[in-house]
Amino acid sequence: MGRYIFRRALLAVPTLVGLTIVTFFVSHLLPADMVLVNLGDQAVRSPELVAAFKHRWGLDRPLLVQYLVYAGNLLRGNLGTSIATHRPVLAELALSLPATMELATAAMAGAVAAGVVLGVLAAVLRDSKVDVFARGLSAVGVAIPTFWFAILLLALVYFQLGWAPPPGRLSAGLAPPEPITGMYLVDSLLRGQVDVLVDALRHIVLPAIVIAMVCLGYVTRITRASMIETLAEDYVRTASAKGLTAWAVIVRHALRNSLIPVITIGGTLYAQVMSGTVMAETIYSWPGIGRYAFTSAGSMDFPAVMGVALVVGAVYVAVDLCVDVLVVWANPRVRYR
Amino acid sequence: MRWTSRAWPVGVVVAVALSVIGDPGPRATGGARTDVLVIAKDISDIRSPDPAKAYEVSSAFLLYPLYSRLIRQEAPDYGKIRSDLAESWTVSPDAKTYTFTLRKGAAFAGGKPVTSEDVRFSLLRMKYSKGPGGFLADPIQSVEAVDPATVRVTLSGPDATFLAALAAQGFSILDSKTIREQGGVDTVGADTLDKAESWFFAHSAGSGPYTLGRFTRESEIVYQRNDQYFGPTPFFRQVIVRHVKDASARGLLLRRGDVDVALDLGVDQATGLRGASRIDLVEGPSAFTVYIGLNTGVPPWNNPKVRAAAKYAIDYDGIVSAIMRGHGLRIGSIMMPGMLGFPGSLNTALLYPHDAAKASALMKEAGVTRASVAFTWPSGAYYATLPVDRLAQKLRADLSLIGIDLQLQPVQESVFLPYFRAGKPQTILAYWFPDFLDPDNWTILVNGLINRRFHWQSPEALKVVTEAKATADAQRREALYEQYNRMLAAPDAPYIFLVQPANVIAARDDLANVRYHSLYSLEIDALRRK
Repeated sequence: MGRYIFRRALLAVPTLVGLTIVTFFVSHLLPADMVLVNLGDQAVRSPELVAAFKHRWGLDRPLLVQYLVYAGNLLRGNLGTSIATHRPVLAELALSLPATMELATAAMAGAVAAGVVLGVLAAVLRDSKVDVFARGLSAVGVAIPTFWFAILLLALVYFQLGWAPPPGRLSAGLAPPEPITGMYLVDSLLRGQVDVLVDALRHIVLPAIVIAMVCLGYVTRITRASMIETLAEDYVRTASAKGLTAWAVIVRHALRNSLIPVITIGGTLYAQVMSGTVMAETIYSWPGIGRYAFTSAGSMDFPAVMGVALVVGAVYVAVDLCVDVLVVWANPRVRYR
Repeated sequence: MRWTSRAWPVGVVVAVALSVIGDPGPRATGGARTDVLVIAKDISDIRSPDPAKAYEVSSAFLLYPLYSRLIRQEAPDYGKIRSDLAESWTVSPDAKTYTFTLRKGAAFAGGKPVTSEDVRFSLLRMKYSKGPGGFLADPIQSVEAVDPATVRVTLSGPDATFLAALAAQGFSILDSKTIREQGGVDTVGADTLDKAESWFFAHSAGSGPYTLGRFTRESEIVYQRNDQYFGPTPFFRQVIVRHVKDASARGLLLRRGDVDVALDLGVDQATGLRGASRIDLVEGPSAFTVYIGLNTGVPPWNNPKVRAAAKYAIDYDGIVSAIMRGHGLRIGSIMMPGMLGFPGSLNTALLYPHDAAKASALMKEAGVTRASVAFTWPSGAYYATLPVDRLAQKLRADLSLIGIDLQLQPVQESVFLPYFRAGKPQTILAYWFPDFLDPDNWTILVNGLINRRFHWQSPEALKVVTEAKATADAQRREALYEQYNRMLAAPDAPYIFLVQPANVIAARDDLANVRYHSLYSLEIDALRRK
């Protein structure tokens, strides 16, 4: 298993290298003018300022050389400097990635827990009211536009009912915990700041529900379909026939075997959510990686865009690996070679 | 100044949502929040809190309370240049030498007195840092600290606009000793040698009414009152700016009492909040002036008669009443009404009436019955309260009545700019937002920056504005800019001036002195609770 993981991790290297090549050259094909967008209409009139800008960011060199310089820095763990803020991209990602990771994890945890329970119930009580509800909810969850649901939930739960705090990661004026992981929930816990922890928890609920809603639909459907298939298997009938309780049959025998497609789809969803959900992050003022990518792309901040692409790529690779390991846990018949 | 905005049609959605679920009514303001002010604003366009590198609309807002500048302009009379750190000044008759006498007793937040050396350092650091606003310092040839309270700026050529330019965010006066310690450089090469920028993300070094407590990109700005401030002591001990990207969400936060002020509302939110209990709407002229640019290199705009016809074909009042719902006014030239050489009376005099018959007659004279031409604008944008997409639709409808068929081509903003700059668009819905409030900042429609893109020149107008720039005498300048504005309003000029949108601020009704500032958004230090 250790060797397998190592081999898979090695495979990630060519993937990421390919990713940098594609992102780098594609982003330079865009019809937008990086110098103009960053310097502004007035400053580009001064050839001196333009030359200084180009030299500063290496734009006066051939594209291939630019890439090689970039790749060389990357090997030394340097993701470059953001053109917009002049700060290291790595430092900026260290702010936005944990924000998204926290939100994505909370959302996925909720979606998987609710989706699996709902999916199992729907499968066991097929065509009952529970099943109709589960199917309806998953259809709505998948179909509902995120920005619409986000604003509706905010208007209802925050504005109308007053049950949730306003957008943001913390209440106004509350200082974030001294960063360890950058995730406020984790850091406040580690630092023992209970007030910050509670506040951060209250703030994460609504955006997490918005993101979870989309994932919930997929998880419920897959669980239901997979459970229905498994429940028809001979070994399930055998288990029931030998007098096991319904609970034991469903949870210990059927569910574990049904989980494989759920894990696969859950992994893909998690990676997707980890690459940022711009709409939810926008409406809930969540300074995550989706916002960062969006802002950076809009201002032609190439080093930042490249950094995001790399991180997202790495997340996909890591999640894929986790999925493979989890699948073996769920179904030991699958073996590594 | 640089300004970006991307908006989603969420305003409509929330309006629908709210009408369905109803209004919960007024909420109590957050109890103990007497000397703490909370503001909701979209601050996502801030790139750097270093004055030498900042050039965004929101960074001007961020820097305004942290730093003092030599001079200031207050809303609503921007024509008047007031004392800030400079107590008085003299301008040489050739508008090349500016001598400032600094105010006595002004100190930085740490207690250090503000001296001419700090001014010299700040101006030159700005110049040599070559940031996006650095061109504003191009005219500076040298800065001399004559004595601790006197500073002399010599320009490389006559420039009567320089005094007003000193109110721009880039000319914020920094504590030179502190910034030097952080790696600040004020000589040639500062663009690569200066290492102080990252320090500004967590600190400030100014003599303004507030100091920076905390700045988190796309999250929050926290200001603390500067007790050493030389001006009137600000009412609020602490000011917190919450980043709320979405304008309708800003409205919700205000109505629930979670914030005291919601800035930069769109027309839908302004309408939604009108009459809401315990909320005041405050309106001020934004610095956006919106116009249509006509490319004179392509038909039908190469025909001056068609350009004139289009000016009579637009239902301007309909734009103000239906699309802007009264939050703004019509303009007859490019400048903000009220600028030197463009008083409100002249603005009114230069407006074109909506006269369909005259427009059709002009089209007939031109010999054009039908024409099809592309129409480009940055999609999804809001210019202050004005939703640009809706304006584009309206213009298409208006011009189709005289046989001009605008083909709508909305494009993403970062693509729009280079396309515009290359002079490719045939018809464009454009705006100007000034870097500082001097009429010279609006001469871009003849000085080569913008007019070149429409393949149009006016040597006479260029002569007028060039002379105005080098004229120190205010009366003479005024007459020249008046002439410039009249020339721009000529029937054959390739610009159709539309509107100056208002900026709408909504605030809890227990706040006094809420004023929109066209450059800094809000004069935070003037706010107080009733």
